[in-house]
Amino acid sequence: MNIDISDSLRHFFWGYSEARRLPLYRALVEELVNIHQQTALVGNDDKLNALKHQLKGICRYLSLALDEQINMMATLGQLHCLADNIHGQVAAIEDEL
Amino acid sequence: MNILIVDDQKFIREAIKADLVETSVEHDLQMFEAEDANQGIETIVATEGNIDLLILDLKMNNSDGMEVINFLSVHACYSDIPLAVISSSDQRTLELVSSIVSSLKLNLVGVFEKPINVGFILAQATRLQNQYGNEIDVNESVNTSDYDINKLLEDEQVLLCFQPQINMKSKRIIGFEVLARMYDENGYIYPDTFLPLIDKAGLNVEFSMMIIAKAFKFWENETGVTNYRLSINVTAEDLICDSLIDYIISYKKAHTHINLILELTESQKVINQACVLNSIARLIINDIGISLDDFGKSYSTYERLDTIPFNEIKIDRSFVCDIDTNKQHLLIVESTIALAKKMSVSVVAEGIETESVLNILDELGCDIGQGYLYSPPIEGRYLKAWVNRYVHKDTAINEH
Repeated sequence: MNIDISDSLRHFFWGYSEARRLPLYRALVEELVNIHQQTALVGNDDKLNALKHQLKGICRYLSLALDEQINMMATLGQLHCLADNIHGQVAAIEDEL
Repeated sequence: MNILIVDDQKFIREAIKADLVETSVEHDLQMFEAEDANQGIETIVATEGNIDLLILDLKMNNSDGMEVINFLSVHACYSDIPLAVISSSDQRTLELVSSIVSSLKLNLVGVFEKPINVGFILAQATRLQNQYGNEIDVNESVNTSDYDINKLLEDEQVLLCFQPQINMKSKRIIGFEVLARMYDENGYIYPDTFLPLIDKAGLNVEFSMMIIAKAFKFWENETGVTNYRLSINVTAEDLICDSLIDYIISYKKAHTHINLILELTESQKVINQACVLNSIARLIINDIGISLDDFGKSYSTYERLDTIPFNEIKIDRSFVCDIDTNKQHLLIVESTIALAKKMSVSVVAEGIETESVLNILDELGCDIGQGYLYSPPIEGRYLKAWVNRYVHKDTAINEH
């Protein structure tokens, strides 16, 4: 799933004062890295729902309407791809913050 | 203001904190964080419950928000902490949780979908705290068992307050509901405290008799308010007492100009007793109106509609006060008003505390409103002055 979320990301971060952006950015990256790692682990299938819930929470805060797509994901692999995609685009805007 | 955020996701805690800082006008914000239920409970205990708003995630890794909710509900000293439950769960789950939490008698600000609107939650929490502050008993340090209810009744340590009921269309005063307060040397004692003691002492009917007698005496002597309707609460148990019914009827016969309405509460079991129905029939025959109080609160509410030829339905405040945020309550209130219209009886909505609730009720066609937005209960000695101010459009609500 390739989605362009860069506008939503900018909109989210620019809604906060400069001093707040970096702590928010770091916390977001930390969470995405964690989800990314967890979804890559073999035998972690029992955590699928919990990880989906976490990613859903993040997406909602970033105003990404991905609830339905995440609900429909049946494997850690699918979730891993989405987390990877989001993480890549978040990393790409670091210099702008 | 102390705010505790319990959420397992650091990013969401950071976002809420950022929103709080940017939204709140209060500079003295102290924020505590917890990443699971246990940490949350530890923080509540460590701060001795000195939390002005608890923002609690429902579904967390290794724990869930219900653990904190259950902790609050079994520890009375923490149950008044304003609680906002937040979640990414679906709407139906949120509604279920809302209904569970509401039944636990916690100080619930609401159940909210993520991302939350921090400004709205802060406003609601502040509103709740003000409301709670208004309701705090002056005698809160006194244990209920410390009161000698027999002595207070013997000495008639009772004073009457009157809460206005307003015609929602014309904005004119319809009447007043009589609300009793007891007092001792420490100040007011509120019904939540004294009614259970009266019940335990088996003095319910004696108490009702005293209130009714005092209310009648006040009403007939208070020029300027006598033209308004006088609503008095009675329980079904009161209606078993023939002498009380005789007294009310004889008073009404002697003061035909007084528009008297009895607000009836209590169980269907008692109401169905033949003697109670007989009393209700006698009251109605003698032009004393019957209002079904706390409508919707009891499971047998609809049976009551079938049994009693009442004049009015009074929707319980627990359904009214949050119809601007609670969809279920809005549906209940809307249906009740529609039902009343079909039955050609008037509807009173009690518990109106905000303009937003008032506007919704107005749109739904509610007839009569009652609540803090109009006025808190007014002590008898100040009633005439309040009426004068209202009539002369000095109150803010009258300009609405």
